[in-house]
Amino acid sequence: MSSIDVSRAMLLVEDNPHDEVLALRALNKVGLGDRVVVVRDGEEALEWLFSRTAAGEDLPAVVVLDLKLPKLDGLEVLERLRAHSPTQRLPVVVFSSSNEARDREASWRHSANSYVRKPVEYKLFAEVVGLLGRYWLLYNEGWTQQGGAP
Amino acid sequence: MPKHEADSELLSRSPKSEVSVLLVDDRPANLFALEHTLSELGAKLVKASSGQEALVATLHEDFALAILDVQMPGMDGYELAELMRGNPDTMNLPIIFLTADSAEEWQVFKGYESGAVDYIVKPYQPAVLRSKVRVFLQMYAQQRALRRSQDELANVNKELEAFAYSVSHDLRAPLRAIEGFSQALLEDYLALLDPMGQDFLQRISNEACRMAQLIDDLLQLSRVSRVEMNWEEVELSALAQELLERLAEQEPERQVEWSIAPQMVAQGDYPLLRQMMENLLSNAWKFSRPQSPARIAFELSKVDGRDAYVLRDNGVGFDMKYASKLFAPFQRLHAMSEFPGTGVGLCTVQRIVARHHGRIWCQSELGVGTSFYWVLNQGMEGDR
Repeated sequence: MSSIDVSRAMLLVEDNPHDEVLALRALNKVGLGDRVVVVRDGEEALEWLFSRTAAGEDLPAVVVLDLKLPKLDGLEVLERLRAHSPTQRLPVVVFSSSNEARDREASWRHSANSYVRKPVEYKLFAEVVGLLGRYWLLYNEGWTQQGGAP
Repeated sequence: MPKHEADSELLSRSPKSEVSVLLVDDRPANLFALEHTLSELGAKLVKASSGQEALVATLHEDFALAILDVQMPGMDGYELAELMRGNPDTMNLPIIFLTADSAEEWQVFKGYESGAVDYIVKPYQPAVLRSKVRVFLQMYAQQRALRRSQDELANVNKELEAFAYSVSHDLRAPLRAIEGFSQALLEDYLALLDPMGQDFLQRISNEACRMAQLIDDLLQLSRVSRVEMNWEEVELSALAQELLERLAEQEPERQVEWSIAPQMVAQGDYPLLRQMMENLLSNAWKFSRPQSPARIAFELSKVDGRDAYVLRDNGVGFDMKYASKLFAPFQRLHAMSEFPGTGVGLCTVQRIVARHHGRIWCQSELGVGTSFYWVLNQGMEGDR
């Protein structure tokens, strides 16, 4: 983790180990396998991000956030990020199995930058993860002075 | 509403719990006479000899009815009634005034138009008073039963909601692992598998995808029953045009000719009607695949003197002896290899039509085509 330039990386918040392996595999295929940090629950995600903002360290270019997480769920994480000024505008892509209207509404209400449904079909899943990685890590221009630039 | 909760709690413990009537009169002899008159009704009779006492009684108990003497020293019957109307716990409590006044005078009470107010001029006929009270007791029992069913329904809906939510999140994840790692094996270890091994893996992966589709369709079906409806005017002709164009975009190689009668509108919930049209049109599209050109027509047709919507296709059709199975969930009338599907689409359509107080039926002939007919808002034309 120490060798990663966080400002050019994705923070993947994912508790399902299989989804993690599949997502990493998809990122590897588009050459972004070394630009991802994984945390496995909502609390860990907040601790990791808030310890970096407290230390004045770079934030990732994007957070890819599962909704159903142990301890703090994804919506709570999103809400807390938006309430904390250093992470208020941190790009967050909600990435969930659910297409329930209330999840989508709550995500947009808490200013998610995108809501993407996790496809079951792996070809689609890999395409979506690859696109997200390429878009946020290669093409999107950074959101702060120090962080997020490709 | 603590009172309401206490009431439903009481009800759930003993569904035949007693009903209470509040009797208010400053004269003990009158109270005694009232009690005697009403005793055979089987209700619990709570006596109060002043307005203050009556208000205290309403704090402790839920009443089906209050019978108030109008002429009382201090707070009279009208004042007491005004105070009870102002309190959320007693604002709907029906009241019978006992009065020596003329009929015109008792109407000074502002709440009389609520309908839950009656009056009897003294001296009263015991049998008349009894039958009036009986009507109020029956009304109260019916309201209580209705409230109980509403509570139960709300609970069941909440459970269904939680169930669907959990299905939506949790049931797809294992399928993604099954499908994903099957694909990973096919991609990374292809050389180690003979064609039969590859075929087995492909079957595993296909079925995982099919199950995911099934879960989505089932969730859609349950959502159709759960969602709150917003009634508005929906332009079905324009909607059908949009959906058919979309289908054509997905399969540009198909030759499909369609015709849509102009300006057909329906009163209903837009997302639900859109879902209905989507399911019906994609069925017509799918089952007319062997035809070139395929023909789809959406128009109005007179059925029993009123307009029914009808959607016709010249597709493969089906044997009408299976028509009864058409709208049941998971029922399919065609082989999976020929026309894939989960068998939930038409069941969803039927529920949407039912939520619009309508009816849907079908005419079909093998090799000739299928026509779906439906009407919405039956018997409600005047209202909407």
